[in-house]
Amino acid sequence: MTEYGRPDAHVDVGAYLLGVLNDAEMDRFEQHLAGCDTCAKLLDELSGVVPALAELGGAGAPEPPSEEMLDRLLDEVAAQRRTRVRRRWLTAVAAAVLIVAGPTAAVLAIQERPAVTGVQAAAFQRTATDPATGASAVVGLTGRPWGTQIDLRLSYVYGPRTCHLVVVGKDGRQETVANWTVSGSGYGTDEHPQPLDIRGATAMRPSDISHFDVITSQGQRLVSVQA
Amino acid sequence: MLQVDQGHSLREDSTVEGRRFPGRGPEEELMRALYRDHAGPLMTYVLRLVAGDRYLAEDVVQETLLRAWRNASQLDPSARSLRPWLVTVARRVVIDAHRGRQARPAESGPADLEQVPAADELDRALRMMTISDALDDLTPAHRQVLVETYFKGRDTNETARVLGVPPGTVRSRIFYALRSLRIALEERGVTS
Repeated sequence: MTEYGRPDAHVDVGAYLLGVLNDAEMDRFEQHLAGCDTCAKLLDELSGVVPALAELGGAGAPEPPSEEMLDRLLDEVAAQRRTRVRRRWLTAVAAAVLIVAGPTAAVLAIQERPAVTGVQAAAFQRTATDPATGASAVVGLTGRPWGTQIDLRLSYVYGPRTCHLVVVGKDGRQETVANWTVSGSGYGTDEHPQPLDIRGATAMRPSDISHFDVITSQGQRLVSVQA
Repeated sequence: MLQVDQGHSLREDSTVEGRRFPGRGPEEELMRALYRDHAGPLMTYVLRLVAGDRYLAEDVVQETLLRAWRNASQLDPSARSLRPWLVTVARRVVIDAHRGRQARPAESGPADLEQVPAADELDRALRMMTISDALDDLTPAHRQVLVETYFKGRDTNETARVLGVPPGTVRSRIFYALRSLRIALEERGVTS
C-alpha cells in the first residue's frame, strides 16, 4: 500500500502529466511524488509524450473522419468508372466513323463531337418520364466540396409556362434550385427538338437528396426524378 | 488526334472486375487503402489548417483523397512519399475553398496561406500525421481517454462520468495510454 491508500498510486503520473487531476488529487499526488522514486522515474519517462500530443492540439480533439466519407468516396469511384466507360464508348464510335468514312469525315467527326458538358459530364445520372404529362428529364448529380451540382436536361415540355426545379432532401427539406420559362414551341418537341439544359446547385450532398421535382408556376408536377 | 486514356492499366482491368463485384474491385480497394492509411492523419492536419471547422475539414480530406485516387497511376502508393503530395493538395483545396467563400462576410480562414507549403511547414504537417498514426495505434479505450481528457479539457472525474467508468479506471487508462503512446512514437521515430 502507498501513503494514500491505493496500490496503484503510481498510475496517477499520467493524469498529472496531462494536467487533468482536480486540485485535491493534484495535491495528494504531489505529496506522494515527494517520497516516491518510481513516480519520479515514470514522470521522466512519459514527459516527452505530452509535447507530441500538444502538436496535434489547437484545433480540438483529433477526431477521425466520419464513416460516411468512405461511402461517399466509393460512390465517386463507381460514378467515375461509369463516366470512363461511356467516354471510351464514344471514342470507339468516333474511331469507327474515321475508319469507315475516311479523312473528310474525320474532320467533321472531330468538329461535331460535342464537348462532354452539362448533364453528360455529371458523376451520376438519373432519368424519368412522367406517363401523365409526357415530360422526360435527365438529372445529373455531381458531388462538390460545397454540395451538389445539378444538371437538368428536359424534353417533351410545352409552353408557354414557367417552371422550377425543386430538390427534396431525404429529411424532407425542399429547395428551389432553378427557374426558367418555356416558350410556346417548348423544348424537346417536334417544333423545337433541342432539349432544355439547366444547371442548379444545392448545399445538400448527393447522398442527402431524395428526389427532384419539375414544377410549373401553377403547381403542377411535370416530372419527378429519384436521386 | 483522338484522345485515348493511357497509363491506367490498373483501371482498365478493374472496369470489368468492378462491374462483376460492385464495391469490391481493385479501384475500390485502392480507395479503401487511401482512406484507411491517410484519412485520419490528414484530417488531423486539415482540422488545424481550417481552425477546427470539422465540416470543411471533411470536405477537404474527401476531395484530397479523391484526387489521390485519380492520380494513383502517377503516385507512389507507399505512405512515406504520398504524404507530402497529400499535404500539398489538401492545402490547395483549403485555399480554393476559402477563395470561394470570400464573398461572404465574417468568414475566418487561412487568408494568408501560401500556395505551396514551406519546407518547415511540410515537416510539421508530416510530423503531425505521424503522431496521429501513433495515436491510432492505441486501443480505442486508450485513445478515447486521451481525447476526453487532454483534448477536450475534462478532468478525470468528469471523464469518468462521460465514459461511465470509475475515476480510478480513467486514471489508470491514462497512464497505460501514455506508455503505449510513448512506445508507438518511438517506433515511428518521433522524438521530442
